[in-house]
Amino acid sequence: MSPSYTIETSHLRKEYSRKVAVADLDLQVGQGEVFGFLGPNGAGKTTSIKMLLGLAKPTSGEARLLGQPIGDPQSRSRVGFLPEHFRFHDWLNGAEFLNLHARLYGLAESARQQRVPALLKRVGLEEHANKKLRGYSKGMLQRIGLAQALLNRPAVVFLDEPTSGLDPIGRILVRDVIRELRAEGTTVFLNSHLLSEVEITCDRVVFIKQGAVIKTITLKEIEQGATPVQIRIGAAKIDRATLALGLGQFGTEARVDSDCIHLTVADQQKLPDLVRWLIGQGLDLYELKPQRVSLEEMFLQIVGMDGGL
Amino acid sequence: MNPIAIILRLTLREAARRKVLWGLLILGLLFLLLYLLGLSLIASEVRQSPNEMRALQRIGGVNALYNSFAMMALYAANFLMVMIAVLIPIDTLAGEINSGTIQAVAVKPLRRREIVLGKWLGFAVLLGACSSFLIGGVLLITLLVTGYLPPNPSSGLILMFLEALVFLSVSLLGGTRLSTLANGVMGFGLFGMAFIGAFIEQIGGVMQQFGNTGGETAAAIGKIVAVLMPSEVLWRRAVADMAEGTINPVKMMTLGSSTPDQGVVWYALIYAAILLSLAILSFQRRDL
Repeated sequence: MSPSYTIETSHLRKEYSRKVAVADLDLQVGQGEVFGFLGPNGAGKTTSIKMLLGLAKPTSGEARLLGQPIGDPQSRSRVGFLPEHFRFHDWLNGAEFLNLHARLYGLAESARQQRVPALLKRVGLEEHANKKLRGYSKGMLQRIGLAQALLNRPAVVFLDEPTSGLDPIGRILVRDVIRELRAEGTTVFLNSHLLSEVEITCDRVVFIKQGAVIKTITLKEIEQGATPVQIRIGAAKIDRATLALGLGQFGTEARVDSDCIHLTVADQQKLPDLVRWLIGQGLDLYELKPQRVSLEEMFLQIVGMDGGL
Repeated sequence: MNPIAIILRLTLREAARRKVLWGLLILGLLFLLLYLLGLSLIASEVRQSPNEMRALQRIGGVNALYNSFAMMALYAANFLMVMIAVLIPIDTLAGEINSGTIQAVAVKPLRRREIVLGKWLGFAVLLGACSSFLIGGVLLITLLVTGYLPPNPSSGLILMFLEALVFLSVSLLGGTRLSTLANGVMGFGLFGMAFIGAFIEQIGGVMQQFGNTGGETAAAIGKIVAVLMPSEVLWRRAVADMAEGTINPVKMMTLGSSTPDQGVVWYALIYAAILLSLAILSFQRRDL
Protein backbone atom coordinates (compact mmCIF):
# COMPACT_ATOMS: atom_id res chain seq x y z
CA MET A 1 0.00 0.00 0.00
CA SER A 2 1.28 3.42 -0.88
CA PRO A 3 1.51 5.98 1.91
CA SER A 4 0.41 8.85 -0.31
CA TYR A 5 -3.32 8.22 0.12
CA THR A 6 -5.24 9.72 3.02
CA ILE A 7 -7.60 6.78 3.12
CA GLU A 8 -6.75 3.45 1.65
CA THR A 9 -8.55 0.15 2.04
CA SER A 10 -7.88 -3.23 0.55
CA HIS A 11 -10.37 -6.10 0.58
CA LEU A 12 -11.95 -4.68 3.71
CA ARG A 13 -14.69 -6.95 4.97
CA LYS A 14 -17.10 -6.94 7.88
CA GLU A 15 -19.35 -9.82 8.77
CA TYR A 16 -21.89 -9.84 11.53
CA SER A 17 -23.21 -13.12 12.84
CA ARG A 18 -25.82 -13.50 10.12
CA LYS A 19 -24.99 -11.05 7.40
CA VAL A 20 -22.16 -9.50 5.50
CA ALA A 21 -22.24 -5.72 6.01
CA VAL A 22 -19.20 -4.93 3.88
CA ALA A 23 -18.08 -7.56 1.40
CA ASP A 24 -14.89 -6.38 -0.23
CA LEU A 25 -14.13 -2.69 -0.09
CA ASP A 26 -11.25 -1.20 -2.05
CA LEU A 27 -10.88 2.55 -1.76
CA GLN A 28 -8.18 5.12 -2.36
CA VAL A 29 -8.87 8.67 -1.34
CA GLY A 30 -6.19 11.26 -2.00
CA GLN A 31 -5.09 14.17 0.13
CA GLY A 32 -7.41 17.16 -0.23
CA GLU A 33 -10.07 15.28 -2.12
CA VAL A 34 -13.78 15.80 -1.43
CA PHE A 35 -14.98 12.26 -1.72
CA GLY A 36 -18.59 11.14 -1.96
CA PHE A 37 -19.53 7.72 -0.65
CA LEU A 38 -22.86 6.69 -2.14
CA GLY A 39 -25.07 3.69 -2.02
CA PRO A 40 -28.53 2.53 -1.02
CA ASN A 41 -29.53 1.92 2.59
CA GLY A 42 -27.82 -1.14 3.97
CA ALA A 43 -24.99 -0.95 1.43
CA GLY A 44 -22.46 -0.79 4.26
CA LYS A 45 -21.60 2.91 4.17
CA THR A 46 -21.78 3.60 7.90
CA THR A 47 -20.11 0.29 8.75
CA SER A 48 -17.24 1.22 6.42
CA ILE A 49 -16.80 4.59 8.14
CA LYS A 50 -16.91 2.88 11.55
CA MET A 51 -14.15 0.50 10.49
CA LEU A 52 -12.00 3.37 9.21
CA LEU A 53 -12.43 5.19 12.52
CA GLY A 54 -11.68 2.17 14.69
CA LEU A 55 -15.22 1.90 16.05
CA ALA A 56 -15.76 -1.50 14.44
CA LYS A 57 -13.16 -4.18 13.80
CA PRO A 58 -12.89 -5.50 10.23
CA THR A 59 -13.36 -9.24 9.82
CA SER A 60 -10.61 -9.26 7.24
CA GLY A 61 -8.71 -7.00 4.85
CA GLU A 62 -6.64 -4.00 5.71
CA ALA A 63 -6.94 -0.26 5.75
CA ARG A 64 -4.82 2.78 6.45
CA LEU A 65 -5.85 6.19 7.57
CA LEU A 66 -3.29 8.99 7.18
CA GLY A 67 -0.65 6.36 6.57
CA GLN A 68 -1.33 4.56 9.87
CA PRO A 69 -3.12 1.24 10.32
CA ILE A 70 -6.72 1.92 11.35
CA GLY A 71 -7.42 1.84 15.07
CA ASP A 72 -4.23 3.70 15.92
CA PRO A 73 -5.27 6.41 18.43
CA GLN A 74 -2.44 8.72 17.37
CA SER A 75 -3.71 9.03 13.79
CA ARG A 76 -7.15 9.89 15.15
CA SER A 77 -5.81 13.15 16.55
CA ARG A 78 -5.91 14.43 12.96
CA VAL A 79 -9.36 13.11 12.17
CA GLY A 80 -12.77 14.73 12.55
CA PHE A 81 -16.04 12.80 12.62
CA LEU A 82 -19.67 13.81 12.56
CA PRO A 83 -21.64 10.65 13.41
CA GLU A 84 -24.88 9.86 11.64
CA HIS A 85 -27.19 10.17 14.64
CA PHE A 86 -25.27 12.97 16.38
CA ARG A 87 -26.19 11.89 19.90
CA PHE A 88 -24.07 13.73 22.41
CA HIS A 89 -23.96 14.30 26.17
CA ASP A 90 -27.10 16.41 26.19
CA TRP A 91 -26.68 17.70 29.73
CA LEU A 92 -23.73 19.81 28.56
CA ASN A 93 -24.21 23.21 26.99
CA GLY A 94 -22.79 24.03 23.57
CA ALA A 95 -19.56 25.61 24.81
CA GLU A 96 -18.96 22.89 27.42
CA PHE A 97 -19.54 20.22 24.79
CA LEU A 98 -16.96 21.71 22.43
CA ASN A 99 -14.51 22.21 25.30
CA LEU A 100 -14.88 18.57 26.33
CA HIS A 101 -14.15 17.33 22.83
CA ALA A 102 -11.30 19.81 22.41
CA ARG A 103 -9.79 18.35 25.61
CA LEU A 104 -10.25 14.85 24.25
CA TYR A 105 -8.33 15.97 21.16
CA GLY A 106 -5.60 17.13 23.52
CA LEU A 107 -5.93 20.81 22.62
CA ALA A 108 -4.13 23.16 25.01
CA GLU A 109 -6.10 25.68 27.06
CA SER A 110 -5.05 28.61 24.83
CA ALA A 111 -6.02 26.77 21.66
CA ARG A 112 -9.40 25.85 23.15
CA GLN A 113 -10.14 29.42 24.13
CA GLN A 114 -9.54 30.51 20.58
CA ARG A 115 -11.03 27.57 18.72
CA VAL A 116 -14.30 26.99 20.62
CA PRO A 117 -15.81 30.50 20.20
CA ALA A 118 -14.59 30.66 16.59
CA LEU A 119 -16.35 27.40 15.71
CA LEU A 120 -19.52 28.32 17.60
CA LYS A 121 -19.60 31.42 15.46
CA ARG A 122 -18.81 29.52 12.28
CA VAL A 123 -21.81 27.22 12.70
CA GLY A 124 -24.06 30.05 13.80
CA LEU A 125 -24.55 28.93 17.40
CA GLU A 126 -22.70 31.63 19.34
CA GLU A 127 -25.98 32.80 20.85
CA HIS A 128 -26.78 29.29 22.02
CA ALA A 129 -23.37 28.58 23.56
CA ASN A 130 -24.81 28.51 27.09
CA LYS A 131 -27.89 26.50 26.23
CA LYS A 132 -27.99 22.79 27.11
CA LEU A 133 -27.79 20.44 24.13
CA ARG A 134 -31.00 18.85 25.43
CA GLY A 135 -32.78 21.98 24.26
CA TYR A 136 -31.17 22.01 20.80
CA SER A 137 -33.16 21.26 17.66
CA LYS A 138 -32.05 18.49 15.32
CA GLY A 139 -30.44 21.04 13.02
CA MET A 140 -28.61 22.73 15.90
CA LEU A 141 -27.27 19.38 17.09
CA GLN A 142 -25.99 18.71 13.61
CA ARG A 143 -24.29 22.12 13.54
CA ILE A 144 -22.62 21.63 16.93
CA GLY A 145 -21.62 18.14 15.81
CA LEU A 146 -20.00 19.62 12.73
CA ALA A 147 -18.13 22.16 14.90
CA GLN A 148 -16.97 19.27 17.11
CA ALA A 149 -15.53 17.52 14.04
CA LEU A 150 -13.42 20.56 13.14
CA LEU A 151 -11.96 21.40 16.58
CA ASN A 152 -8.54 19.90 15.85
CA ARG A 153 -8.14 21.36 12.33
CA PRO A 154 -8.29 17.79 11.02
CA ALA A 155 -6.44 16.46 7.99
CA VAL A 156 -9.45 14.33 7.14
CA VAL A 157 -13.10 14.80 8.08
CA PHE A 158 -15.75 12.08 7.95
CA LEU A 159 -19.26 13.44 7.59
CA ASP A 160 -21.99 10.81 7.85
CA GLU A 161 -25.17 12.33 6.45
CA PRO A 162 -24.20 15.86 7.49
CA THR A 163 -27.27 17.59 6.10
CA SER A 164 -30.06 15.17 7.00
CA GLY A 165 -31.52 17.34 9.77
CA LEU A 166 -30.79 20.71 8.26
CA ASP A 167 -32.97 23.33 6.64
CA PRO A 168 -31.78 24.94 3.36
CA ILE A 169 -29.72 27.56 5.25
CA GLY A 170 -28.02 24.84 7.24
CA ARG A 171 -27.27 22.93 4.05
CA ILE A 172 -25.65 25.95 2.50
CA LEU A 173 -23.58 26.30 5.66
CA VAL A 174 -22.36 22.70 5.38
CA ARG A 175 -21.63 23.21 1.69
CA ASP A 176 -19.61 26.33 2.46
CA VAL A 177 -17.73 24.59 5.26
CA ILE A 178 -16.83 21.76 2.87
CA ARG A 179 -15.58 24.32 0.33
CA GLU A 180 -13.43 25.97 3.00
CA LEU A 181 -12.05 22.60 4.02
CA ARG A 182 -11.21 21.84 0.40
CA ALA A 183 -9.45 25.20 0.09
CA GLU A 184 -7.39 24.37 3.19
CA GLY A 185 -6.39 21.02 1.68
CA THR A 186 -8.48 18.93 4.07
CA THR A 187 -9.75 15.60 2.82
CA VAL A 188 -13.51 15.26 3.19
CA PHE A 189 -15.20 11.88 3.21
CA LEU A 190 -18.88 12.55 2.65
CA ASN A 191 -21.60 9.99 3.11
CA SER A 192 -24.89 11.43 1.94
CA HIS A 193 -28.21 10.54 0.44
CA LEU A 194 -28.75 14.01 -0.92
CA LEU A 195 -27.27 13.45 -4.33
CA SER A 196 -27.73 17.03 -5.47
CA GLU A 197 -25.56 18.07 -2.52
CA VAL A 198 -22.94 15.52 -3.41
CA GLU A 199 -23.00 16.66 -7.01
CA ILE A 200 -22.23 20.23 -5.98
CA THR A 201 -19.55 19.49 -3.40
CA CYS A 202 -17.66 16.36 -4.36
CA ASP A 203 -14.67 15.87 -6.64
CA ARG A 204 -15.19 12.17 -6.95
CA VAL A 205 -17.82 9.68 -5.90
CA VAL A 206 -17.97 5.94 -5.54
CA PHE A 207 -21.12 3.89 -5.60
CA ILE A 208 -21.19 0.93 -3.31
CA LYS A 209 -23.68 -1.87 -3.13
CA GLN A 210 -23.63 -4.83 -0.77
CA GLY A 211 -20.38 -3.56 0.62
CA ALA A 212 -18.32 -3.39 -2.55
CA VAL A 213 -17.45 -0.56 -4.91
CA ILE A 214 -19.40 -0.95 -8.11
CA LYS A 215 -18.49 2.31 -9.83
CA THR A 216 -16.17 5.28 -9.36
CA ILE A 217 -16.91 8.58 -11.05
CA THR A 218 -14.92 11.78 -11.21
CA LEU A 219 -17.63 14.37 -11.30
CA LYS A 220 -15.97 16.37 -14.09
CA GLU A 221 -16.52 13.31 -16.26
CA ILE A 222 -20.24 13.86 -16.08
CA GLU A 223 -19.75 17.21 -17.81
CA GLN A 224 -17.22 15.84 -20.26
CA GLY A 225 -19.18 12.81 -21.36
CA ALA A 226 -21.54 12.44 -24.32
CA THR A 227 -24.55 14.67 -23.74
CA PRO A 228 -27.91 14.72 -25.50
CA VAL A 229 -28.84 18.26 -26.53
CA GLN A 230 -32.23 19.65 -27.33
CA ILE A 231 -32.32 22.80 -29.53
CA ARG A 232 -35.50 24.77 -30.13
CA ILE A 233 -35.47 26.68 -33.43
CA GLY A 234 -37.93 28.69 -35.49
CA ALA A 235 -39.70 26.87 -38.32
CA ALA A 236 -36.86 25.47 -40.40
CA LYS A 237 -36.07 27.46 -43.50
CA ILE A 238 -33.75 24.80 -44.86
CA ASP A 239 -34.28 21.24 -45.77
CA ARG A 240 -34.43 18.94 -42.74
CA ALA A 241 -32.36 16.23 -44.35
CA THR A 242 -29.57 18.65 -45.28
CA LEU A 243 -29.65 20.06 -41.74
CA ALA A 244 -29.42 16.60 -40.23
CA LEU A 245 -26.49 15.80 -42.48
CA GLY A 246 -24.67 19.00 -41.47
CA LEU A 247 -25.26 18.27 -37.79
CA GLY A 248 -23.34 15.02 -38.21
CA GLN A 249 -20.06 16.94 -37.76
CA PHE A 250 -21.03 17.87 -34.19
CA GLY A 251 -22.56 14.69 -32.91
CA THR A 252 -24.59 11.59 -33.48
CA GLU A 253 -28.24 10.63 -33.47
CA ALA A 254 -29.28 13.90 -35.14
CA ARG A 255 -33.01 14.23 -35.63
CA VAL A 256 -34.90 17.35 -36.82
CA ASP A 257 -38.57 17.98 -36.00
CA SER A 258 -40.58 20.98 -37.17
CA ASP A 259 -39.16 23.30 -34.51
CA CYS A 260 -36.72 21.17 -32.60
CA ILE A 261 -33.34 19.52 -33.15
CA HIS A 262 -32.19 16.51 -31.09
CA LEU A 263 -28.53 15.65 -31.10
CA THR A 264 -26.02 13.86 -28.92
CA VAL A 265 -22.67 15.66 -28.75
CA ALA A 266 -19.58 13.74 -27.74
CA ASP A 267 -18.26 16.62 -25.71
CA GLN A 268 -19.95 19.72 -24.34
CA GLN A 269 -17.01 21.82 -25.56
CA LYS A 270 -18.43 21.45 -29.06
CA LEU A 271 -21.56 23.38 -28.13
CA PRO A 272 -20.32 26.95 -28.94
CA ASP A 273 -19.26 25.80 -32.40
CA LEU A 274 -22.62 24.14 -32.90
CA VAL A 275 -24.43 27.39 -32.00
CA ARG A 276 -22.29 29.43 -34.41
CA TRP A 277 -22.91 26.91 -37.19
CA LEU A 278 -26.69 26.89 -36.63
CA ILE A 279 -26.87 30.70 -36.79
CA GLY A 280 -24.66 30.60 -39.85
CA GLN A 281 -27.30 28.40 -41.46
CA GLY A 282 -29.81 31.22 -41.00
CA LEU A 283 -31.77 29.52 -38.25
CA ASP A 284 -33.57 31.34 -35.42
CA LEU A 285 -32.30 29.90 -32.17
CA TYR A 286 -34.65 30.03 -29.15
CA GLU A 287 -33.21 27.55 -26.71
CA LEU A 288 -30.32 25.11 -26.37
CA LYS A 289 -30.57 22.66 -23.49
CA PRO A 290 -27.90 20.06 -22.73
CA GLN A 291 -29.72 17.10 -21.17
CA ARG A 292 -27.14 16.40 -18.48
CA VAL A 293 -27.46 13.13 -16.68
CA SER A 294 -27.89 13.97 -13.02
CA LEU A 295 -26.13 12.03 -10.32
CA GLU A 296 -29.54 10.83 -9.24
CA GLU A 297 -30.19 9.23 -12.62
CA MET A 298 -26.74 7.71 -12.58
CA PHE A 299 -27.39 6.40 -9.09
CA LEU A 300 -30.54 4.65 -10.28
CA GLN A 301 -28.79 3.29 -13.36
CA ILE A 302 -25.80 2.03 -11.43
CA VAL A 303 -27.35 0.81 -8.23
CA GLY A 304 -30.61 -0.28 -9.79
CA MET A 305 -34.17 0.51 -8.85
CA ASP A 306 -34.33 -2.28 -6.32
CA GLY A 307 -32.07 -0.11 -4.18
CA GLY A 308 -31.47 -0.89 -0.58
CA LEU A 309 -33.24 -2.73 2.13
CA MET B 1 -5.05 16.82 30.70
CA ASN B 2 -4.81 13.05 30.78
CA PRO B 3 -7.71 11.33 28.96
CA ILE B 4 -8.53 9.29 32.08
CA ALA B 5 -8.81 12.51 34.09
CA ILE B 6 -11.08 14.03 31.41
CA ILE B 7 -13.47 11.06 31.55
CA LEU B 8 -13.32 10.98 35.37
CA ARG B 9 -14.28 14.64 35.47
CA LEU B 10 -17.02 14.09 32.91
CA THR B 11 -18.44 11.23 35.00
CA LEU B 12 -18.59 13.34 38.16
CA ARG B 13 -20.02 16.26 36.25
CA GLU B 14 -22.74 14.06 34.79
CA ALA B 15 -23.66 12.80 38.27
CA ALA B 16 -23.95 16.40 39.43
CA ARG B 17 -25.87 17.61 36.37
CA ARG B 18 -28.30 14.75 36.30
CA LYS B 19 -29.18 15.44 39.93
CA VAL B 20 -27.79 12.06 41.02
CA LEU B 21 -25.77 13.86 43.70
CA TRP B 22 -28.83 15.66 45.02
CA GLY B 23 -30.81 12.45 45.09
CA LEU B 24 -28.09 10.68 47.05
CA LEU B 25 -27.71 13.60 49.44
CA ILE B 26 -31.44 13.75 50.19
CA LEU B 27 -31.71 9.98 50.53
CA GLY B 28 -28.69 9.92 52.84
CA LEU B 29 -29.95 12.79 54.95
CA LEU B 30 -33.35 11.14 55.41
CA PHE B 31 -31.69 7.90 56.39
CA LEU B 32 -29.36 9.58 58.89
CA LEU B 33 -32.19 11.71 60.29
CA LEU B 34 -34.25 8.61 60.96
CA TYR B 35 -31.31 6.97 62.70
CA LEU B 36 -30.67 10.11 64.75
CA LEU B 37 -34.31 10.20 65.84
CA GLY B 38 -34.43 6.52 66.81
CA LEU B 39 -31.10 6.54 68.62
CA SER B 40 -31.93 9.74 70.52
CA LEU B 41 -35.21 8.24 71.76
CA ILE B 42 -33.48 5.07 72.95
CA ALA B 43 -30.58 6.93 74.54
CA SER B 44 -32.85 9.25 76.52
CA GLU B 45 -35.01 6.31 77.63
CA VAL B 46 -31.95 4.39 78.81
CA ARG B 47 -30.58 7.36 80.79
CA GLN B 48 -33.88 7.83 82.59
CA SER B 49 -34.39 4.22 83.66
CA PRO B 50 -31.81 2.75 86.09
CA ASN B 51 -33.66 -0.57 86.09
CA GLU B 52 -33.15 -1.07 82.42
CA MET B 53 -29.52 -0.13 82.81
CA ARG B 54 -29.14 -3.03 85.24
CA ALA B 55 -30.90 -5.37 82.87
CA LEU B 56 -28.51 -4.29 80.13
CA GLN B 57 -25.51 -5.39 82.17
CA ARG B 58 -26.43 -8.95 81.34
CA ILE B 59 -25.91 -8.44 77.60
CA GLY B 60 -22.71 -6.48 77.98
CA GLY B 61 -23.71 -3.04 79.16
CA VAL B 62 -25.36 -0.09 77.57
CA ASN B 63 -22.69 0.15 74.88
CA ALA B 64 -23.74 -3.27 73.61
CA LEU B 65 -27.21 -1.87 73.08
CA TYR B 66 -25.86 1.14 71.24
CA ASN B 67 -23.61 -1.12 69.19
CA SER B 68 -26.55 -3.34 68.21
CA PHE B 69 -28.44 -0.30 67.08
CA ALA B 70 -25.48 1.14 65.17
CA MET B 71 -24.88 -2.23 63.47
CA MET B 72 -28.48 -2.37 62.31
CA ALA B 73 -28.11 1.11 60.84
CA LEU B 74 -24.85 0.04 59.16
CA TYR B 75 -26.59 -3.06 57.82
CA ALA B 76 -29.11 -0.78 56.12
CA ALA B 77 -26.38 1.64 54.99
CA ASN B 78 -24.43 -1.27 53.50
CA PHE B 79 -27.49 -2.40 51.58
CA LEU B 80 -28.02 1.15 50.30
CA MET B 81 -24.39 1.27 49.20
CA VAL B 82 -24.81 -1.98 47.24
CA MET B 83 -27.88 -0.57 45.49
CA ILE B 84 -26.11 2.69 44.69
CA ALA B 85 -23.01 0.87 43.45
CA VAL B 86 -25.05 -1.34 41.11
CA LEU B 87 -27.46 1.30 39.88
CA ILE B 88 -25.40 4.44 39.36
CA PRO B 89 -22.94 3.01 36.80
CA ILE B 90 -25.52 0.64 35.29
CA ASP B 91 -26.26 2.68 32.18
CA THR B 92 -22.99 4.51 31.70
CA LEU B 93 -21.61 2.16 29.03
CA ALA B 94 -24.72 0.33 27.83
CA GLY B 95 -26.64 3.60 27.48
CA GLU B 96 -23.90 5.47 25.66
CA ILE B 97 -23.24 2.55 23.33
CA ASN B 98 -26.94 2.19 22.61
CA SER B 99 -27.57 5.86 21.89
CA GLY B 100 -24.33 6.29 19.95
CA THR B 101 -23.07 8.99 22.33
CA ILE B 102 -19.92 6.93 22.79
CA GLN B 103 -19.01 7.23 19.09
CA ALA B 104 -17.94 10.86 19.10
CA VAL B 105 -15.84 10.15 22.22
CA ALA B 106 -14.29 6.86 21.12
CA VAL B 107 -12.97 8.30 17.82
CA LYS B 108 -10.91 10.85 19.70
CA PRO B 109 -7.21 10.12 20.23
CA LEU B 110 -7.70 8.14 23.43
CA ARG B 111 -7.69 4.44 24.15
CA ARG B 112 -10.79 2.50 25.03
CA ARG B 113 -9.28 1.41 28.32
CA GLU B 114 -8.94 5.07 29.27
CA ILE B 115 -12.70 5.49 28.85
CA VAL B 116 -13.43 2.52 31.14
CA LEU B 117 -10.79 3.49 33.71
CA GLY B 118 -11.96 7.11 33.78
CA LYS B 119 -15.53 6.03 34.40
CA TRP B 120 -14.51 3.49 37.05
CA LEU B 121 -12.45 6.07 38.91
CA GLY B 122 -15.20 8.68 38.65
CA PHE B 123 -17.76 6.33 40.16
CA ALA B 124 -15.24 5.14 42.76
CA VAL B 125 -14.83 8.73 43.92
CA LEU B 126 -18.61 9.09 44.05
CA LEU B 127 -19.02 5.84 46.00
CA GLY B 128 -16.21 6.89 48.35
CA ALA B 129 -18.09 10.09 49.10
CA CYS B 130 -21.34 8.13 49.52
CA SER B 131 -19.93 5.59 51.94
CA SER B 132 -18.15 8.28 53.95
CA PHE B 133 -21.41 10.17 54.19
CA LEU B 134 -23.68 7.22 55.06
CA ILE B 135 -21.36 5.07 57.16
CA GLY B 136 -19.40 7.98 58.59
CA GLY B 137 -22.75 9.64 59.34
CA VAL B 138 -24.03 6.64 61.30
CA LEU B 139 -20.82 6.43 63.32
CA LEU B 140 -20.71 10.16 63.99
CA ILE B 141 -24.35 10.28 65.10
CA THR B 142 -23.73 7.31 67.39
CA LEU B 143 -20.75 9.05 68.96
CA LEU B 144 -22.52 12.40 69.37
CA VAL B 145 -25.77 11.01 70.80
CA THR B 146 -24.38 8.26 73.06
CA GLY B 147 -20.72 9.11 73.51
CA TYR B 148 -19.94 5.56 72.28
CA LEU B 149 -18.10 4.62 69.08
CA PRO B 150 -18.08 1.03 67.77
CA PRO B 151 -14.57 -0.46 67.53
CA ASN B 152 -12.50 -0.34 64.31
CA PRO B 153 -14.65 2.28 62.55
CA SER B 154 -12.15 2.91 59.73
CA SER B 155 -11.74 -0.80 59.00
CA GLY B 156 -15.54 -1.15 58.73
CA LEU B 157 -15.73 1.83 56.43
CA ILE B 158 -13.00 0.50 54.15
CA LEU B 159 -14.62 -2.97 53.97
CA MET B 160 -17.99 -1.55 53.03
CA PHE B 161 -16.41 0.80 50.47
CA LEU B 162 -14.61 -2.22 49.00
CA GLU B 163 -17.93 -4.01 48.71
CA ALA B 164 -19.26 -1.03 46.74
CA LEU B 165 -16.20 -1.16 44.46
CA VAL B 166 -16.85 -4.85 43.79
CA PHE B 167 -20.38 -4.05 42.64
CA LEU B 168 -19.20 -1.04 40.65
CA SER B 169 -16.85 -3.37 38.73
CA VAL B 170 -19.65 -5.89 38.18
CA SER B 171 -21.93 -3.17 36.86
CA LEU B 172 -19.30 -1.74 34.49
CA LEU B 173 -18.40 -5.16 33.16
CA GLY B 174 -22.06 -5.98 32.57
CA GLY B 175 -22.55 -2.64 30.83
CA THR B 176 -20.05 -3.53 28.11
CA ARG B 177 -22.29 -6.31 26.79
CA LEU B 178 -25.67 -6.41 28.52
CA SER B 179 -28.70 -4.19 28.26
CA THR B 180 -29.35 -1.96 31.24
CA LEU B 181 -32.12 -4.20 32.53
CA ALA B 182 -30.13 -7.43 32.19
CA ASN B 183 -27.18 -5.74 33.86
CA GLY B 184 -29.31 -4.75 36.85
CA VAL B 185 -30.69 -8.27 37.14
CA MET B 186 -27.14 -9.63 37.10
CA GLY B 187 -25.87 -7.18 39.76
CA PHE B 188 -28.69 -7.77 42.22
CA GLY B 189 -28.74 -11.46 41.38
CA LEU B 190 -25.09 -11.76 42.40
CA PHE B 191 -25.82 -9.83 45.59
CA GLY B 192 -28.71 -12.19 46.40
CA MET B 193 -26.58 -15.21 45.60
CA ALA B 194 -23.81 -14.09 47.97
CA PHE B 195 -26.39 -13.33 50.65
CA ILE B 196 -27.94 -16.79 50.46
CA GLY B 197 -24.50 -18.38 50.10
CA ALA B 198 -23.42 -16.87 53.41
CA PHE B 199 -26.46 -18.33 55.15
CA ILE B 200 -25.86 -21.76 53.66
CA GLU B 201 -22.27 -21.64 54.86
CA GLN B 202 -23.29 -20.70 58.40
CA ILE B 203 -26.04 -23.27 58.63
CA GLY B 204 -23.55 -25.79 57.32
CA GLY B 205 -21.13 -24.71 60.03
CA VAL B 206 -23.73 -25.20 62.76
CA MET B 207 -24.67 -28.60 61.34
CA GLN B 208 -21.00 -29.61 61.40
CA GLN B 209 -20.79 -28.64 65.08
CA PHE B 210 -23.58 -31.08 65.73
CA GLY B 211 -21.71 -33.75 63.83
CA ASN B 212 -24.02 -33.68 60.83
CA THR B 213 -22.19 -34.79 57.68
CA GLY B 214 -24.37 -32.77 55.29
CA GLY B 215 -22.99 -29.66 56.98
CA GLU B 216 -19.65 -30.07 55.30
CA THR B 217 -21.19 -29.89 51.83
CA ALA B 218 -23.32 -26.90 52.75
CA ALA B 219 -20.30 -25.05 54.15
CA ALA B 220 -18.34 -25.86 50.99
CA ILE B 221 -21.13 -24.54 48.78
CA GLY B 222 -21.19 -21.35 50.80
CA LYS B 223 -17.44 -20.93 50.41
CA ILE B 224 -17.62 -21.44 46.64
CA VAL B 225 -20.33 -18.79 46.39
CA ALA B 226 -18.12 -16.43 48.42
CA VAL B 227 -15.31 -16.96 45.92
CA LEU B 228 -17.66 -16.19 43.04
CA MET B 229 -18.97 -13.04 44.73
CA PRO B 230 -17.13 -11.86 47.84
CA SER B 231 -19.58 -9.12 48.81
CA GLU B 232 -21.09 -10.90 51.78
CA VAL B 233 -17.77 -11.97 53.30
CA LEU B 234 -16.68 -8.32 53.22
CA TRP B 235 -19.76 -7.32 55.16
CA ARG B 236 -19.30 -10.20 57.58
CA ARG B 237 -15.68 -9.18 58.14
CA ALA B 238 -16.89 -5.64 58.85
CA VAL B 239 -19.37 -7.04 61.42
CA ALA B 240 -16.59 -9.09 62.99
CA ASP B 241 -14.52 -5.93 63.34
CA MET B 242 -17.23 -3.65 64.66
CA ALA B 243 -19.95 -5.64 66.47
CA GLU B 244 -19.87 -5.99 70.26
CA GLY B 245 -22.03 -7.56 72.96
CA THR B 246 -23.42 -11.02 73.55
CA ILE B 247 -26.93 -10.43 72.23
CA ASN B 248 -26.38 -8.45 69.05
CA PRO B 249 -28.93 -9.25 66.31
CA VAL B 250 -26.70 -8.34 63.35
CA LYS B 251 -23.75 -10.23 64.80
CA MET B 252 -25.83 -13.30 65.50
CA MET B 253 -27.32 -13.20 62.04
CA THR B 254 -23.97 -12.79 60.24
CA LEU B 255 -21.39 -14.58 62.33
CA GLY B 256 -22.98 -17.85 63.36
CA SER B 257 -20.25 -20.39 62.89
CA SER B 258 -17.30 -18.77 61.15
CA THR B 259 -15.61 -15.42 60.71
CA PRO B 260 -13.94 -14.43 57.45
CA ASP B 261 -10.29 -13.51 57.97
CA GLN B 262 -8.54 -10.31 56.87
CA GLY B 263 -7.54 -11.99 53.60
CA VAL B 264 -10.95 -11.07 52.20
CA VAL B 265 -9.67 -7.53 51.71
CA TRP B 266 -6.97 -8.75 49.35
CA TYR B 267 -9.29 -11.16 47.65
CA ALA B 268 -11.87 -8.41 47.06
CA LEU B 269 -9.21 -6.08 45.66
CA ILE B 270 -7.98 -8.73 43.25
CA TYR B 271 -11.58 -9.64 42.37
CA ALA B 272 -12.44 -6.00 41.55
CA ALA B 273 -9.23 -5.64 39.54
CA ILE B 274 -9.99 -8.76 37.51
CA LEU B 275 -13.53 -7.61 36.79
CA LEU B 276 -12.29 -4.17 35.77
CA SER B 277 -9.72 -5.77 33.44
CA LEU B 278 -12.44 -7.93 31.93
CA ALA B 279 -14.60 -4.84 31.46
CA ILE B 280 -11.74 -3.12 29.60
CA LEU B 281 -11.11 -6.18 27.46
CA SER B 282 -14.77 -6.64 26.66
CA PHE B 283 -15.20 -2.95 25.80
CA GLN B 284 -12.07 -2.97 23.62
CA ARG B 285 -13.29 -5.91 21.63
CA ARG B 286 -16.79 -4.79 20.84
CA ASP B 287 -18.01 -2.67 17.95
CA LEU B 288 -19.47 0.68 18.91
